[in-house]
Amino acid sequence: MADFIEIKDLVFDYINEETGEETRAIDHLCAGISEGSFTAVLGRNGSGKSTLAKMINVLMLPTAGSVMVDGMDTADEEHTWEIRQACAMVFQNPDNQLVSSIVEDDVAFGPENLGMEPAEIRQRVEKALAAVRMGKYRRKALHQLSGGQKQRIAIAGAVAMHPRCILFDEPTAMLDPQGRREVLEIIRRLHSEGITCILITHYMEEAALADRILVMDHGTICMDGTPREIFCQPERLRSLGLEVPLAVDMAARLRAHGLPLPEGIVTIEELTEGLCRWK
Amino acid sequence: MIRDITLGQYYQGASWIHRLDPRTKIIAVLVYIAGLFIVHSLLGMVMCTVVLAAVIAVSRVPLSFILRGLKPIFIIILLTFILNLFMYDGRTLCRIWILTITWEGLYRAVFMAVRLILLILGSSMLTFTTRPIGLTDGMERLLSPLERLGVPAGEIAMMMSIALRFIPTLLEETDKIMKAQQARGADFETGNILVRARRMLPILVPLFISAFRIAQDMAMAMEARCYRGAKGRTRMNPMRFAKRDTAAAILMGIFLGACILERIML
Repeated sequence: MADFIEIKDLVFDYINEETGEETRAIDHLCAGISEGSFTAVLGRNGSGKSTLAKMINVLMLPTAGSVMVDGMDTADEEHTWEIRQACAMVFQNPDNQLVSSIVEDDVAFGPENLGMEPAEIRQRVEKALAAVRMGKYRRKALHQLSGGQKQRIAIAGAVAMHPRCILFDEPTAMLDPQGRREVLEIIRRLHSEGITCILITHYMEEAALADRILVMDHGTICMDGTPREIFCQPERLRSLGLEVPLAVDMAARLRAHGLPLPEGIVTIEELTEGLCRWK
Repeated sequence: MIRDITLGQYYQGASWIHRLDPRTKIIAVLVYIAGLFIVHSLLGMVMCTVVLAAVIAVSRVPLSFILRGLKPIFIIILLTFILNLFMYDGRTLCRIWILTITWEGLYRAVFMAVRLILLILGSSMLTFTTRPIGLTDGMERLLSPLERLGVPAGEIAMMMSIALRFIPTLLEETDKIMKAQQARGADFETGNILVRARRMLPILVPLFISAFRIAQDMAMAMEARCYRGAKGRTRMNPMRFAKRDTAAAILMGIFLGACILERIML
Protein backbone atom coordinates (compact mmCIF):
# COMPACT_ATOMS: atom_id res chain seq x y z
CA MET A 1 0.00 0.00 0.00
CA ALA A 2 1.30 3.44 -0.84
CA ASP A 3 2.16 5.80 2.01
CA PHE A 4 -0.17 8.66 2.88
CA ILE A 5 2.60 11.16 2.28
CA GLU A 6 5.33 10.28 -0.19
CA ILE A 7 8.31 12.53 -0.64
CA LYS A 8 10.61 11.72 -3.54
CA ASP A 9 14.02 13.29 -4.09
CA LEU A 10 12.76 16.66 -2.85
CA VAL A 11 14.87 19.78 -3.37
CA PHE A 12 14.04 23.31 -2.30
CA ASP A 13 16.17 26.42 -2.78
CA TYR A 14 15.47 29.63 -0.90
CA ILE A 15 16.26 32.72 -2.92
CA ASN A 16 17.36 35.70 -0.90
CA GLU A 17 15.46 38.58 -2.43
CA GLU A 18 18.13 41.19 -1.75
CA THR A 19 21.27 39.38 -2.80
CA GLY A 20 19.70 36.88 -5.21
CA GLU A 21 21.72 34.15 -3.51
CA GLU A 22 20.31 30.65 -3.39
CA THR A 23 20.37 28.59 -0.23
CA ARG A 24 19.50 24.94 -0.35
CA ALA A 25 16.92 24.33 2.41
CA ILE A 26 15.90 20.80 1.39
CA ASP A 27 18.49 18.62 -0.27
CA HIS A 28 17.37 15.45 -2.10
CA LEU A 29 15.06 14.28 0.66
CA CYS A 30 13.10 11.02 0.43
CA ALA A 31 10.56 9.86 2.99
CA GLY A 32 7.22 8.16 3.36
CA ILE A 33 4.69 8.61 6.12
CA SER A 34 2.00 5.99 6.54
CA GLU A 35 -1.57 6.74 7.47
CA GLY A 36 -2.38 6.66 11.17
CA SER A 37 1.23 7.02 12.26
CA PHE A 38 2.69 9.55 14.71
CA THR A 39 5.98 10.88 13.42
CA ALA A 40 8.23 13.42 15.11
CA VAL A 41 10.65 15.47 13.04
CA LEU A 42 13.69 16.63 14.97
CA GLY A 43 16.50 18.89 13.94
CA ARG A 44 18.41 21.97 14.97
CA ASN A 45 17.46 25.46 13.78
CA GLY A 46 17.84 25.81 10.04
CA SER A 47 17.83 22.06 9.39
CA GLY A 48 14.86 22.49 7.04
CA LYS A 49 12.14 20.89 9.16
CA SER A 50 9.66 23.79 8.98
CA THR A 51 10.28 24.16 5.26
CA LEU A 52 9.42 20.49 4.83
CA ALA A 53 6.09 20.99 6.65
CA LYS A 54 5.22 23.98 4.48
CA MET A 55 5.94 21.93 1.36
CA ILE A 56 3.57 19.18 2.49
CA ASN A 57 0.87 21.84 3.04
CA VAL A 58 1.50 23.37 -0.43
CA LEU A 59 2.56 26.68 1.14
CA MET A 60 5.77 26.22 -0.84
CA LEU A 61 6.38 24.31 -4.06
CA PRO A 62 9.37 22.02 -4.73
CA THR A 63 12.32 23.26 -6.78
CA ALA A 64 12.79 19.65 -7.87
CA GLY A 65 11.38 16.28 -6.85
CA SER A 66 7.84 15.75 -5.64
CA VAL A 67 5.56 15.57 -2.62
CA MET A 68 2.49 13.37 -2.91
CA VAL A 69 -0.29 13.60 -0.31
CA ASP A 70 -2.85 10.79 -0.54
CA GLY A 71 -1.87 10.26 -4.14
CA MET A 72 -2.19 13.95 -5.07
CA ASP A 73 0.85 15.87 -6.31
CA THR A 74 1.35 19.19 -4.47
CA ALA A 75 2.66 20.73 -7.68
CA ASP A 76 -0.75 20.18 -9.29
CA GLU A 77 -2.78 23.33 -8.65
CA GLU A 78 -6.05 21.47 -9.01
CA HIS A 79 -5.40 19.61 -5.76
CA THR A 80 -4.07 22.47 -3.60
CA TRP A 81 -7.26 22.89 -1.58
CA GLU A 82 -7.96 19.18 -1.27
CA ILE A 83 -4.45 18.64 0.08
CA ARG A 84 -4.77 21.47 2.59
CA GLN A 85 -8.06 20.05 3.77
CA ALA A 86 -6.69 16.50 4.03
CA CYS A 87 -3.54 17.67 5.78
CA ALA A 88 -4.20 20.60 8.13
CA MET A 89 -1.45 22.58 9.80
CA VAL A 90 -0.93 24.15 13.23
CA PHE A 91 1.76 26.82 13.51
CA GLN A 92 4.12 27.91 16.23
CA ASN A 93 2.66 31.22 17.35
CA PRO A 94 -0.97 30.90 18.46
CA ASP A 95 -1.51 34.66 18.25
CA ASN A 96 -0.54 34.87 14.60
CA GLN A 97 -2.74 32.08 13.29
CA LEU A 98 -6.12 32.84 14.86
CA VAL A 99 -8.36 34.82 12.57
CA SER A 100 -11.34 35.86 14.62
CA SER A 101 -11.60 37.46 18.04
CA ILE A 102 -14.21 34.99 19.35
CA VAL A 103 -13.27 31.35 19.98
CA GLU A 104 -16.10 29.63 18.10
CA ASP A 105 -15.94 32.04 15.17
CA ASP A 106 -12.29 31.19 14.77
CA VAL A 107 -12.85 27.43 14.81
CA ALA A 108 -15.58 27.94 12.19
CA PHE A 109 -13.18 29.73 9.83
CA GLY A 110 -11.91 26.56 8.11
CA PRO A 111 -15.30 24.93 7.49
CA GLU A 112 -16.67 28.31 6.36
CA ASN A 113 -13.90 28.46 3.76
CA LEU A 114 -14.88 24.99 2.58
CA GLY A 115 -18.39 26.35 1.92
CA MET A 116 -20.31 24.02 4.23
CA GLU A 117 -23.91 24.36 5.39
CA PRO A 118 -24.36 26.45 8.60
CA ALA A 119 -25.77 23.47 10.56
CA GLU A 120 -22.86 21.28 9.51
CA ILE A 121 -20.36 24.00 10.51
CA ARG A 122 -22.02 24.39 13.92
CA GLN A 123 -21.80 20.64 14.50
CA ARG A 124 -18.14 20.48 13.47
CA VAL A 125 -17.23 23.42 15.69
CA GLU A 126 -18.90 21.82 18.72
CA LYS A 127 -17.10 18.53 18.11
CA ALA A 128 -13.72 20.17 17.50
CA LEU A 129 -13.99 22.27 20.67
CA ALA A 130 -14.94 19.18 22.64
CA ALA A 131 -11.94 17.32 21.18
CA VAL A 132 -9.56 19.95 22.62
CA ARG A 133 -11.66 20.27 25.80
CA MET A 134 -12.45 23.92 25.24
CA GLY A 135 -16.21 23.59 24.87
CA LYS A 136 -17.10 25.90 27.70
CA TYR A 137 -14.88 28.68 26.32
CA ARG A 138 -16.72 28.88 23.02
CA ARG A 139 -17.98 32.44 23.47
CA LYS A 140 -14.82 33.83 25.06
CA ALA A 141 -12.66 36.49 23.45
CA LEU A 142 -9.29 35.12 22.38
CA HIS A 143 -7.21 37.70 24.21
CA GLN A 144 -8.63 36.44 27.50
CA LEU A 145 -7.10 32.98 27.02
CA SER A 146 -3.66 31.66 27.96
CA GLY A 147 -1.10 30.65 25.35
CA GLY A 148 -1.84 26.95 25.79
CA GLN A 149 -5.57 27.53 25.47
CA LYS A 150 -5.06 29.61 22.31
CA GLN A 151 -2.96 26.86 20.81
CA ARG A 152 -5.73 24.36 21.62
CA ILE A 153 -8.16 26.62 19.76
CA ALA A 154 -5.77 26.63 16.81
CA ILE A 155 -5.78 22.81 16.93
CA ALA A 156 -9.60 22.82 17.08
CA GLY A 157 -9.55 25.02 13.97
CA ALA A 158 -7.53 22.33 12.20
CA VAL A 159 -9.68 19.47 13.54
CA ALA A 160 -12.87 21.19 12.33
CA MET A 161 -11.69 20.76 8.74
CA HIS A 162 -11.85 16.95 9.30
CA PRO A 163 -8.30 16.33 8.11
CA ARG A 164 -6.74 12.88 7.93
CA CYS A 165 -3.38 14.28 8.92
CA ILE A 166 -2.33 17.26 11.05
CA LEU A 167 1.10 18.87 10.80
CA PHE A 168 2.24 20.52 14.01
CA ASP A 169 5.04 23.01 13.36
CA GLU A 170 6.66 23.51 16.79
CA PRO A 171 3.28 24.02 18.46
CA THR A 172 4.74 24.21 21.97
CA ALA A 173 7.76 26.44 21.31
CA MET A 174 6.07 29.55 22.69
CA LEU A 175 4.18 27.96 25.59
CA ASP A 176 4.84 27.54 29.29
CA PRO A 177 5.25 24.00 30.72
CA GLN A 178 1.55 23.76 31.62
CA GLY A 179 0.50 24.81 28.11
CA ARG A 180 2.98 22.36 26.57
CA ARG A 181 1.55 19.48 28.56
CA GLU A 182 -2.01 20.36 27.53
CA VAL A 183 -1.11 20.60 23.85
CA LEU A 184 0.86 17.32 23.83
CA GLU A 185 -2.00 15.54 25.56
CA ILE A 186 -4.35 16.74 22.82
CA ILE A 187 -1.95 15.62 20.09
CA ARG A 188 -1.71 12.13 21.60
CA ARG A 189 -5.48 11.89 21.81
CA LEU A 190 -5.95 12.97 18.20
CA HIS A 191 -3.45 10.32 17.15
CA SER A 192 -5.28 7.64 19.14
CA GLU A 193 -8.44 8.65 17.29
CA GLY A 194 -6.75 7.75 14.03
CA ILE A 195 -5.43 11.08 12.75
CA THR A 196 -1.96 10.93 11.26
CA CYS A 197 0.20 13.30 13.29
CA ILE A 198 3.47 14.89 12.25
CA LEU A 199 5.11 16.81 15.09
CA ILE A 200 7.97 19.12 14.30
CA THR A 201 9.87 19.97 17.44
CA HIS A 202 13.24 20.45 18.99
CA TYR A 203 12.23 19.04 22.36
CA MET A 204 13.48 15.47 22.77
CA GLU A 205 10.84 14.67 25.40
CA GLU A 206 8.10 15.50 22.89
CA ALA A 207 9.70 13.44 20.14
CA ALA A 208 9.81 10.47 22.54
CA LEU A 209 5.99 10.34 22.42
CA ALA A 210 5.97 9.48 18.71
CA ASP A 211 6.21 5.99 17.18
CA ARG A 212 8.84 7.16 14.74
CA ILE A 213 11.45 9.89 14.69
CA LEU A 214 13.03 11.50 11.66
CA VAL A 215 16.14 13.54 12.42
CA MET A 216 16.94 16.21 9.87
CA ASP A 217 20.15 18.07 9.21
CA HIS A 218 21.22 20.21 6.27
CA GLY A 219 17.95 19.55 4.48
CA THR A 220 18.07 15.75 4.49
CA ILE A 221 16.96 12.99 6.82
CA CYS A 222 20.00 11.57 8.55
CA MET A 223 18.34 9.32 11.13
CA ASP A 224 15.08 7.40 10.92
CA GLY A 225 13.75 4.99 13.50
CA THR A 226 11.74 4.43 16.67
CA PRO A 227 12.55 6.68 19.66
CA ARG A 228 14.45 3.76 21.23
CA GLU A 229 16.59 3.26 18.13
CA ILE A 230 17.34 6.96 17.84
CA PHE A 231 18.08 7.69 21.48
CA CYS A 232 20.54 4.84 21.90
CA GLN A 233 22.94 6.78 19.69
CA PRO A 234 23.72 9.77 21.92
CA GLU A 235 27.05 10.53 20.19
CA ARG A 236 25.41 10.74 16.79
CA LEU A 237 22.64 12.99 18.16
CA ARG A 238 25.13 15.36 19.77
CA SER A 239 27.06 15.65 16.52
CA LEU A 240 23.78 16.81 14.92
CA GLY A 241 23.40 19.55 17.52
CA LEU A 242 20.75 17.72 19.56
CA GLU A 243 20.66 16.62 23.16
CA VAL A 244 19.40 13.21 24.25
CA PRO A 245 16.44 13.22 26.64
CA LEU A 246 17.27 13.47 30.32
CA ALA A 247 16.09 9.91 31.10
CA VAL A 248 18.27 8.39 28.35
CA ASP A 249 21.31 10.39 29.44
CA MET A 250 20.75 9.50 33.07
CA ALA A 251 20.34 5.78 32.34
CA ALA A 252 23.54 5.75 30.27
CA ARG A 253 25.52 7.41 33.07
CA LEU A 254 24.09 5.09 35.71
CA ARG A 255 24.95 2.10 33.54
CA ALA A 256 28.50 3.43 33.22
CA HIS A 257 28.64 3.38 37.01
CA GLY A 258 27.70 -0.26 37.00
CA LEU A 259 23.96 -0.15 37.63
CA PRO A 260 22.20 -3.02 35.81
CA LEU A 261 19.55 -0.94 34.05
CA PRO A 262 17.73 -2.47 31.05
CA GLU A 263 18.44 -1.10 27.56
CA GLY A 264 15.97 1.11 25.75
CA ILE A 265 14.96 3.53 28.49
CA VAL A 266 13.44 6.62 26.90
CA THR A 267 10.99 8.25 29.31
CA ILE A 268 11.25 9.32 32.93
CA GLU A 269 8.58 6.73 33.81
CA GLU A 270 10.65 3.90 32.33
CA LEU A 271 13.73 5.10 34.18
CA THR A 272 11.84 5.21 37.48
CA GLU A 273 10.49 1.73 36.85
CA GLY A 274 13.98 0.40 36.04
CA LEU A 275 15.42 1.95 39.19
CA CYS A 276 12.65 0.56 41.38
CA ARG A 277 13.13 -2.94 40.00
CA TRP A 278 16.86 -2.80 40.73
CA LYS A 279 16.22 -1.90 44.33
CA MET B 1 -0.88 50.61 31.50
CA ILE B 2 -1.43 50.55 27.76
CA ARG B 3 -3.50 47.40 28.09
CA ASP B 4 -6.09 49.20 30.16
CA ILE B 5 -7.44 50.89 27.04
CA THR B 6 -10.84 49.35 26.48
CA LEU B 7 -11.51 48.48 22.91
CA GLY B 8 -14.51 47.52 20.95
CA GLN B 9 -17.07 49.59 22.78
CA TYR B 10 -19.39 46.62 22.97
CA TYR B 11 -21.55 46.41 26.08
CA GLN B 12 -22.58 42.79 26.68
CA GLY B 13 -26.33 42.42 26.91
CA ALA B 14 -29.34 40.53 25.62
CA SER B 15 -31.86 43.34 25.17
CA TRP B 16 -34.25 43.72 22.28
CA ILE B 17 -31.79 46.16 20.70
CA HIS B 18 -28.85 43.78 21.15
CA ARG B 19 -30.72 41.00 19.38
CA LEU B 20 -31.65 43.07 16.34
CA ASP B 21 -29.94 42.10 13.11
CA PRO B 22 -26.74 44.20 12.68
CA ARG B 23 -27.98 45.27 9.26
CA THR B 24 -31.14 46.70 10.78
CA LYS B 25 -29.09 48.61 13.32
CA ILE B 26 -26.67 50.01 10.76
CA ILE B 27 -29.53 51.26 8.62
CA ALA B 28 -31.37 52.58 11.69
CA VAL B 29 -28.32 54.63 12.64
CA LEU B 30 -28.10 56.06 9.14
CA VAL B 31 -31.80 56.94 9.28
CA TYR B 32 -31.35 58.53 12.69
CA ILE B 33 -28.43 60.66 11.47
CA ALA B 34 -30.46 61.72 8.45
CA GLY B 35 -33.33 62.62 10.80
CA LEU B 36 -31.01 64.78 12.90
CA PHE B 37 -30.12 66.84 9.85
CA ILE B 38 -33.65 67.04 8.52
CA VAL B 39 -35.26 68.58 11.59
CA HIS B 40 -34.72 72.31 12.01
CA SER B 41 -36.76 73.32 15.03
CA LEU B 42 -36.39 72.82 18.74
CA LEU B 43 -39.48 70.64 18.72
CA GLY B 44 -37.85 68.33 16.17
CA MET B 45 -34.71 68.13 18.29
CA VAL B 46 -36.81 67.26 21.33
CA MET B 47 -38.38 64.46 19.32
CA CYS B 48 -34.93 63.11 18.34
CA THR B 49 -33.81 63.25 21.97
CA VAL B 50 -36.88 61.32 23.09
CA VAL B 51 -36.29 58.65 20.45
CA LEU B 52 -32.66 58.21 21.55
CA ALA B 53 -33.66 58.13 25.20
CA ALA B 54 -36.16 55.39 24.41
CA VAL B 55 -33.51 53.36 22.56
CA ILE B 56 -31.08 53.74 25.48
CA ALA B 57 -33.78 52.68 27.94
CA VAL B 58 -34.64 49.58 25.91
CA SER B 59 -30.98 48.63 25.41
CA ARG B 60 -30.33 48.71 29.18
CA VAL B 61 -26.82 50.06 28.60
CA PRO B 62 -26.05 52.16 31.72
CA LEU B 63 -26.17 55.91 31.12
CA SER B 64 -22.79 56.46 32.81
CA PHE B 65 -21.21 54.06 30.31
CA ILE B 66 -22.80 55.93 27.41
CA LEU B 67 -21.86 59.40 28.64
CA ARG B 68 -18.24 58.35 29.02
CA GLY B 69 -18.12 58.25 25.22
CA LEU B 70 -18.72 62.01 25.13
CA LYS B 71 -15.63 62.87 27.13
CA PRO B 72 -13.07 62.86 24.30
CA ILE B 73 -15.18 65.15 22.13
CA PHE B 74 -16.26 67.52 24.89
CA ILE B 75 -13.90 70.22 23.59
CA ILE B 76 -15.34 70.00 20.08
CA ILE B 77 -18.86 70.41 21.46
CA LEU B 78 -17.76 73.39 23.55
CA LEU B 79 -16.03 75.00 20.57
CA THR B 80 -19.09 74.55 18.36
CA PHE B 81 -21.23 76.04 21.09
CA ILE B 82 -19.04 79.14 21.57
CA LEU B 83 -18.56 79.78 17.86
CA ASN B 84 -22.29 79.57 17.19
CA LEU B 85 -22.97 81.78 20.18
CA PHE B 86 -21.12 84.74 18.73
CA MET B 87 -21.67 84.24 15.02
CA TYR B 88 -25.31 85.18 14.61
CA ASP B 89 -26.85 88.60 14.04
CA GLY B 90 -30.16 89.40 15.67
CA ARG B 91 -31.65 90.76 18.88
CA THR B 92 -28.90 91.50 21.35
CA LEU B 93 -28.91 89.43 24.51
CA CYS B 94 -25.77 90.85 26.08
CA ARG B 95 -22.44 92.35 25.10
CA ILE B 96 -19.00 91.28 26.27
CA TRP B 97 -16.24 93.64 25.13
CA ILE B 98 -16.55 93.64 21.30
CA LEU B 99 -18.47 90.38 21.16
CA THR B 100 -22.22 90.28 21.03
CA ILE B 101 -24.41 87.39 22.07
CA THR B 102 -27.74 87.37 20.33
CA TRP B 103 -30.92 85.46 21.09
CA GLU B 104 -30.63 83.79 17.69
CA GLY B 105 -27.01 82.90 18.41
CA LEU B 106 -27.91 81.31 21.72
CA TYR B 107 -30.72 79.33 20.10
CA ARG B 108 -28.42 78.21 17.29
CA ALA B 109 -25.61 77.27 19.69
CA VAL B 110 -27.85 75.11 21.86
CA PHE B 111 -29.40 73.53 18.77
CA MET B 112 -26.03 72.65 17.20
CA ALA B 113 -24.57 71.33 20.45
CA VAL B 114 -27.59 69.08 21.02
CA ARG B 115 -27.42 67.86 17.43
CA LEU B 116 -23.74 66.99 17.83
CA ILE B 117 -24.31 65.18 21.12
CA LEU B 118 -27.22 63.19 19.70
CA LEU B 119 -25.17 62.37 16.60
CA ILE B 120 -22.37 60.87 18.68
CA LEU B 121 -24.55 59.10 21.20
CA GLY B 122 -26.81 57.75 18.47
CA SER B 123 -23.99 56.26 16.46
CA SER B 124 -22.23 54.88 19.52
CA MET B 125 -25.42 53.00 20.43
CA LEU B 126 -24.64 50.86 17.37
CA THR B 127 -21.21 49.81 18.68
CA PHE B 128 -22.48 49.48 22.24
CA THR B 129 -25.12 46.96 21.26
CA THR B 130 -23.47 45.05 18.37
CA ARG B 131 -20.56 42.62 18.56
CA PRO B 132 -17.65 43.73 16.31
CA ILE B 133 -18.02 40.56 14.25
CA GLY B 134 -21.72 41.30 13.80
CA LEU B 135 -20.84 44.79 12.62
CA THR B 136 -18.39 43.62 9.99
CA ASP B 137 -20.73 40.87 8.81
CA GLY B 138 -23.56 43.40 8.60
CA MET B 139 -21.38 45.77 6.59
CA GLU B 140 -20.43 42.95 4.25
CA ARG B 141 -24.03 42.04 3.58
CA LEU B 142 -25.07 45.66 3.09
CA LEU B 143 -22.19 46.27 0.69
CA SER B 144 -22.71 43.00 -1.19
CA PRO B 145 -24.92 44.54 -3.92
CA LEU B 146 -21.87 46.66 -4.80
CA GLU B 147 -19.91 43.50 -5.56
CA ARG B 148 -21.36 43.60 -9.05
CA LEU B 149 -19.57 46.92 -9.50
CA GLY B 150 -16.31 45.32 -8.43
CA VAL B 151 -16.32 46.35 -4.75
CA PRO B 152 -14.74 43.45 -2.83
CA ALA B 153 -17.26 43.56 0.04
CA GLY B 154 -16.30 40.19 1.53
CA GLU B 155 -12.61 41.04 1.56
CA ILE B 156 -13.27 44.46 3.11
CA ALA B 157 -15.27 42.81 5.90
CA MET B 158 -12.52 40.22 6.43
CA MET B 159 -9.93 43.01 6.66
CA MET B 160 -12.02 44.90 9.21
CA SER B 161 -12.55 41.85 11.40
CA ILE B 162 -8.85 40.93 11.31
CA ALA B 163 -7.97 44.53 12.19
CA LEU B 164 -10.29 44.31 15.20
CA ARG B 165 -8.83 40.96 16.16
CA PHE B 166 -5.28 42.36 16.15
CA ILE B 167 -5.84 45.48 18.21
CA PRO B 168 -5.15 43.73 21.54
CA THR B 169 -2.22 41.81 20.03
CA LEU B 170 -0.59 44.98 18.75
CA LEU B 171 -1.19 46.76 22.06
CA GLU B 172 0.60 43.92 23.82
CA GLU B 173 3.41 44.19 21.31
CA THR B 174 3.71 47.94 21.94
CA ASP B 175 3.81 47.31 25.66
CA LYS B 176 6.59 44.76 25.20
CA ILE B 177 8.67 47.08 23.02
CA MET B 178 8.23 49.98 25.45
CA LYS B 179 9.28 47.83 28.38
CA ALA B 180 12.33 46.56 26.48
CA GLN B 181 13.34 50.14 25.72
CA GLN B 182 12.66 51.31 29.26
CA ALA B 183 14.88 48.50 30.51
CA ARG B 184 17.64 50.03 28.44
CA GLY B 185 17.09 53.49 29.84
CA ALA B 186 14.47 55.03 27.54
CA ASP B 187 12.33 57.63 29.28
CA PHE B 188 8.67 57.95 28.31
CA GLU B 189 7.38 59.68 31.38
CA THR B 190 9.11 63.04 31.77
CA GLY B 191 9.24 66.10 29.53
CA ASN B 192 6.53 68.05 27.74
CA ILE B 193 4.19 66.59 25.16
CA LEU B 194 6.50 67.31 22.23
CA VAL B 195 9.50 65.70 23.87
CA ARG B 196 7.46 62.69 24.84
CA ALA B 197 5.97 62.36 21.38
CA ARG B 198 9.45 62.39 19.86
CA ARG B 199 10.57 59.68 22.26
CA MET B 200 7.67 57.51 21.07
CA LEU B 201 9.09 57.40 17.53
CA PRO B 202 11.63 54.62 18.21
CA ILE B 203 8.70 52.43 19.29
CA LEU B 204 7.02 52.74 15.91
CA VAL B 205 9.82 51.19 13.86
CA PRO B 206 9.96 47.84 15.68
CA LEU B 207 6.17 47.89 15.95
CA PHE B 208 5.80 48.19 12.18
CA ILE B 209 8.32 45.44 11.61
CA SER B 210 6.50 43.10 13.94
CA ALA B 211 3.15 44.04 12.39
CA PHE B 212 4.48 42.99 8.98
CA ARG B 213 5.84 39.77 10.41
CA ILE B 214 2.49 39.00 12.02
CA ALA B 215 0.72 39.78 8.74
CA GLN B 216 2.95 37.34 6.90
CA ASP B 217 2.37 34.54 9.43
CA MET B 218 -1.32 35.29 9.39
CA ALA B 219 -1.60 35.13 5.61
CA MET B 220 0.12 31.76 5.63
CA ALA B 221 -2.12 30.40 8.39
CA MET B 222 -5.22 31.60 6.51
CA GLU B 223 -4.08 29.89 3.33
CA ALA B 224 -3.37 26.70 5.25
CA ARG B 225 -6.98 26.86 6.46
CA CYS B 226 -8.21 27.00 2.87
CA TYR B 227 -9.05 30.72 2.71
CA ARG B 228 -9.32 31.67 -0.95
CA GLY B 229 -11.21 34.91 -0.88
CA ALA B 230 -14.79 35.59 0.11
CA LYS B 231 -16.19 33.66 -2.85
CA GLY B 232 -17.74 30.34 -1.91
CA ARG B 233 -17.45 31.04 1.81
CA THR B 234 -20.42 30.23 4.00
CA ARG B 235 -21.23 31.35 7.52
CA MET B 236 -21.84 29.46 10.73
CA ASN B 237 -24.38 32.07 11.82
CA PRO B 238 -26.20 33.27 8.75
CA MET B 239 -27.99 36.56 9.37
CA ARG B 240 -31.76 36.42 9.35
CA PHE B 241 -34.28 39.20 9.62
CA ALA B 242 -36.67 38.44 12.45
CA LYS B 243 -40.04 39.92 13.35
CA ARG B 244 -38.35 42.43 15.65
CA ASP B 245 -36.35 43.70 12.67
CA THR B 246 -39.55 44.42 10.80
CA ALA B 247 -40.88 46.20 13.90
CA ALA B 248 -37.68 48.24 14.16
CA ALA B 249 -37.88 49.11 10.47
CA ILE B 250 -41.45 50.32 10.85
CA LEU B 251 -40.52 52.44 13.88
CA MET B 252 -37.59 53.99 12.02
CA GLY B 253 -39.91 54.67 9.07
CA ILE B 254 -42.31 56.50 11.35
CA PHE B 255 -39.40 58.48 12.83
CA LEU B 256 -38.12 59.51 9.39
CA GLY B 257 -41.65 60.45 8.31
CA ALA B 258 -42.09 62.61 11.42
CA CYS B 259 -38.77 64.35 10.77
CA ILE B 260 -39.74 65.17 7.17
CA LEU B 261 -43.18 66.32 8.29
CA GLU B 262 -41.56 68.62 10.86
CA ARG B 263 -39.35 70.11 8.16
CA ILE B 264 -42.30 70.82 5.87
CA MET B 265 -44.87 71.95 8.44
CA LEU B 266 -42.82 74.04 10.87
